[in-house]
Amino acid sequence: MTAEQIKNLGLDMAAGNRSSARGGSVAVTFIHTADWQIGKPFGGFDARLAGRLEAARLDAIDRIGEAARERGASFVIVAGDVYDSTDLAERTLRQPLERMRAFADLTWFLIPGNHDYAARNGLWHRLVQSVSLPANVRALVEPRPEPVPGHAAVILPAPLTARALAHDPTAWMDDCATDPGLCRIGLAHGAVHGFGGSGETSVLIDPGRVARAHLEYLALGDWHGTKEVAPRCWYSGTPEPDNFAASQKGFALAVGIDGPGAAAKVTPVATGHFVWARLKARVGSVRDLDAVSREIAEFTDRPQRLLLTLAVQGALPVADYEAFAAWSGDLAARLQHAEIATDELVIEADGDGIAALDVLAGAPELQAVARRLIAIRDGSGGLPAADTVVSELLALRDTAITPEAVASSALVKLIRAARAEAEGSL
Amino acid sequence: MKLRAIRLAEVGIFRDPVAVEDFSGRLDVLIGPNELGKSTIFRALEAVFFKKHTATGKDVELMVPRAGGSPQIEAEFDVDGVRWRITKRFGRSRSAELRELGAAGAASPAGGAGAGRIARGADAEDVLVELLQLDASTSGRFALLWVGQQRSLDLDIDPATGRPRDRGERATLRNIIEQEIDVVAGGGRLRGVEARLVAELETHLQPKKLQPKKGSDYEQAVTRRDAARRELAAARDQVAAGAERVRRLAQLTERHQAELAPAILARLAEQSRSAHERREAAEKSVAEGAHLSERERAARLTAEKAAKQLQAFDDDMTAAAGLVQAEQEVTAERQRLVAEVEANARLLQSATASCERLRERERRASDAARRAAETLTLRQDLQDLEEKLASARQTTAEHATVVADIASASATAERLAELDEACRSLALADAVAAPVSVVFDVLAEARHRITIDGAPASGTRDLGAGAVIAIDGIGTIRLVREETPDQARLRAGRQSAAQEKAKLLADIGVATVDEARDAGRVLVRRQAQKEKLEARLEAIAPAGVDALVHARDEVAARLEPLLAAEQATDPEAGAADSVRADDQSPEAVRDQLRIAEGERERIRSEKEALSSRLGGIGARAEQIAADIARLDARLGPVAVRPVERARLKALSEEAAAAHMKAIDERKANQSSAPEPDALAALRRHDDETRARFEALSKEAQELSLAIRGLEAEIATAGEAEAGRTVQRLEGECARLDTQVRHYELEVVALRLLKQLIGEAEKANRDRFLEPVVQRLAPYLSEVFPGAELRIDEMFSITELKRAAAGEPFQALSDGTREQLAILVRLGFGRLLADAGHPVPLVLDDALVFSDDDRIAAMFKALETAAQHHQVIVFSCRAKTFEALGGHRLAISPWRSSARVET
Repeated sequence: MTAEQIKNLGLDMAAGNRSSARGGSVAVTFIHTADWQIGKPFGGFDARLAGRLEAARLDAIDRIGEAARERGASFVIVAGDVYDSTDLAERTLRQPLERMRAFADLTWFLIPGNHDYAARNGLWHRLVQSVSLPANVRALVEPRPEPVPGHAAVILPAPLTARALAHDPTAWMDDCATDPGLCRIGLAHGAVHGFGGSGETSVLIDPGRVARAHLEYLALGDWHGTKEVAPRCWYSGTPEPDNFAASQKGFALAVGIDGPGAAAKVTPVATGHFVWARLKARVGSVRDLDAVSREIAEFTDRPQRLLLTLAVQGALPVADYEAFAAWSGDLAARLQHAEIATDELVIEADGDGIAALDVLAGAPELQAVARRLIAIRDGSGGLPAADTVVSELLALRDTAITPEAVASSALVKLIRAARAEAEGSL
Repeated sequence: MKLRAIRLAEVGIFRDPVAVEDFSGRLDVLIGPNELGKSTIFRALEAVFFKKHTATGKDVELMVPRAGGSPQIEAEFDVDGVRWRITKRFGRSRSAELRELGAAGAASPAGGAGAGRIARGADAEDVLVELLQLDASTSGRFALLWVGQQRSLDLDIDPATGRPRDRGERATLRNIIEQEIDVVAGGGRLRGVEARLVAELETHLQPKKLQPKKGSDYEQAVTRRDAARRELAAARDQVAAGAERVRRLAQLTERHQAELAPAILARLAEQSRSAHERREAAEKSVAEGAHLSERERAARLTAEKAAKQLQAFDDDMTAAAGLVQAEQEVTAERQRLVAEVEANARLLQSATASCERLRERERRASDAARRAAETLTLRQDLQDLEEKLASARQTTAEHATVVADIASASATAERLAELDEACRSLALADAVAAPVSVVFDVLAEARHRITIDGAPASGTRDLGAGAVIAIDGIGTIRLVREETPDQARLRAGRQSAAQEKAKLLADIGVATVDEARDAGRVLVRRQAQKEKLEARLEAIAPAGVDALVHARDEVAARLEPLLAAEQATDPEAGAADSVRADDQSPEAVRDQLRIAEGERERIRSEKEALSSRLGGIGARAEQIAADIARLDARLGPVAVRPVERARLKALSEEAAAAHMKAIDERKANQSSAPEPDALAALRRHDDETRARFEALSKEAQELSLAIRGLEAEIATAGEAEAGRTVQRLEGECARLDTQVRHYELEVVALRLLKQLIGEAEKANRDRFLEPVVQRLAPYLSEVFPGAELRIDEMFSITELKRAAAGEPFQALSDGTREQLAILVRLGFGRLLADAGHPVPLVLDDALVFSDDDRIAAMFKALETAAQHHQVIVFSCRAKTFEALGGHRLAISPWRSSARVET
């Protein structure tokens, strides 16, 4: 999500400050967050970066706590998937608890989601039985109303007891009677009819629950982007993004409700550290790379926090390819992480292009080799006798390496070696 | 470059300064004997041009004369039309000077002061290098063409390694060739690029293998990827095991609650206890029933025994009564039978007597019949014998008559035979003394005029003892027989035979021979008759007539008593034997006898049956008496028998009552005790209930343990974070796969490039050698017409191709190899000259192995080459080299004032 997109959400970033009533006040202000997924491994990255990404998820708790204090909220509700899985080591279990314990002035209400569902003898059993929760942390593992101390509010939790459920876990809220003076806040994890069909869980929640169960607010987890799916019904999104899927930044929601029946005022609060972005760029010459650079810069003004997957498409004249390679190298060094896919980038090289290359000038043998490579790449020249060597090697490996890709790569190498030879002999 | 002069002082064998000065610049030839110093001059040339004057070491030491000194060498040469002189001194007094002498071709400036630039010391060396375009460290192209003694075979072979020693010759050639073909080719850049690619490939792969190089990033990526895959598989197994544990825990917990809760176990325990009680009660009742059955059985046996005793007593009583009656009946029967036996005995006696009588009669009848038959036979025999005897007697009489007739006959066979012999002898004698005949065939009108012995002569007439023929009117003819001795003997023989014949006829009693023969035929008939009679007699009486008489007498003697007996019995028989009167043949008597004997046998068997019956009656009577005695013993005296029976009856009735009572008691128990099936069911139920309770109790315990164990395992497994590990490793595997693929792509691309460049290079190589081959061609065709030479990229000769057949260079003869090596150098020289860098070709004692033809051709080649660049030839073979054209050089003393005085 770009900064522009966030602006377009039409939310008043300052609105959260208005409902800062505390302790016994009718107005209720709290922070809605979800999908912390503590303990998520980032195996697709090298260990160093994976460590940083994991640490950033823990740090997000601090940022949420700080945001709560800034907005006068005295409690935080976490709508499931506090943890990434159910078989975490105790140290991993304890780490977020310690972060929450540090915010002793806040009460943290947690429910199990589909990643950390409350199985018999499972993670939550261990949390409650063995680890002993901090006093300011409440694990809501049963579907029963939980009063919020010092507030005219009651939380109706819908904890998940399995990865998939056949029924709507919020259904019980319809018949749950509470003091009419209390704000009813639903807390649930799952996909919603008509939205989030691609959500992670096989749990479906009816957004009509808000009206039927007379909820002032239904806090949802599971969808990692921030989204209002119905009036008074929001996905907070994850506070620290964890994949390239939607190019979302991390947010929590500051929610203010003036009293039972009053509308909820919802304000996204940026909590993410790293920015995950996916970009497709079409290039026709080395000059187009400037535009791509500008587009990348728009994701964040701190490139060291950017994780980018860039698919470069189009065609580059062979003469420009080295400039592109240099640009790619610079980009990879500048960003926290860059994956640059050039599968769909064609090096435009024909006989004329090759002849025009200064590095191959006066070397007709090298030019002939280059032409043969182009023929292989374009599938027009057939494979050379040399292909026996290549096909032998290809046969040895279970990879998607094609003769065309080999020829492309060889062409780039040939030009680079010819340049090095030319420069070396000067 | 062209060499113009060389001067030496204190070099090698040259103690005194010498000079060779009048080089033509084309073909210059120095001929001289061994040890003239040609090789010294050659080495001096190398030293002055390519060795720095500051050089030390073995090469320099070799130049110093044995007596010591400081080698000084001076050479004059033309480069680009300018003449130069280089003077170098080696050793302690080392120095160098390069002097420009002015335009080449001007009057020899030798000895004169130079007109141009002068450089000394290191400057001289530098300018020289520049002038000759030498690589600072090598003799370069000069080394190609300056061929020392025995160095002609290859560019230069290092004796230590056996490999060509490169003093920069190849690089020089390459440079020259590349300069030439650069116009159309990329030159060394292809090799440069290839070298870079190979270097890059070698960072990834093991040399000559497709395996990642040890320690390379590629190898590390593969290793890490493979390790991650293994870890992932293990982690997945762990996750699966974890899931299985959780599933199992849920299953066990559910089962524990559903089937093994304490309340369920308590209910089961109660069921088990109740079943056991029911089983015990039933078993007790069944045991009592068995006891009552036993009692009933005993009572029944007692009652049965008492009833049996009573019955036996009654049976004995009945039997005793029956026995008395039977005894009476047996006695009556016995008496009747005795009477029957007696009557039978009488009948048997009568029958036996009758049989005896009949047997006697049968014997007599048989004897009479036998005698009658014998008499009849003897009578017939007697008659036959009488007849035979009569016949024999008649035959004997006839025989006697015939014998007498025969005896009286005179015409015996012997006499007749003698007569025949006499007749034959007479006939023979007549034949020998045949008479002479005269045959008269006289005309009829003359017949009466001729007579013989007075008779008219006609026909044939036997002469006999002679005759007289008279012919009327003519006279007589007397025919006389005169006898020879033989004729006399024959006539005597005839007379004897006629006498004998007459005597015999008289003996026989006949007049003629025919009569004698008739008498002989009668005698033969008598003889046959006699034999016939003898045969008949033999048939009638083979043993003779006397034997017949004897036999007849014997039969008559045997017949006589019989006839007498017949006559004696006949009258008695007719009166006394009545049976005979009743036609009593022996057969009829025998029939009567058989009937009588049958009757007797019947009576005898009747007797035996009666005896047997009588015996049976006796035994029966004894048996009855014994039975009566036995029963009496059992029953006791008749008086106490009623009392005993009353006692037995009372006992029986009492036992029967006891039995009935036992039956009632057993039946009462039977109605209350369970059936065997029911009891078995109760037992089974008890066993099953107890087993189930025990099994479930045990299972509950085990299940509790298993649940606690699984809970512990799950807690531990949770600590291992298998799920998280799988997630991490999946990502890692994907990342490492990408990395490995990247390296694989690199490697394949590099190999493809290497291959393509290799192919391009090969194509280039062929083009590359072309300039050398082209220059070589005219020289080669001069010595080896039609041959081709193969040269490799190291400029070494590999093969000589003649008449379409290739011969490896090393397989060629020394002479041919040397010639080829020099020809190649001519090619190189021509190439250098064409490139504008001409270098003199210097041959020191070359062509030592060549034959006359080859050497002539080689000389021609050298002469041709000299048209393009200078060729300098040193040789010790004056005669051979006379044919070589060119300018002859001579060694002369070095008299130049420029010589540095030592």
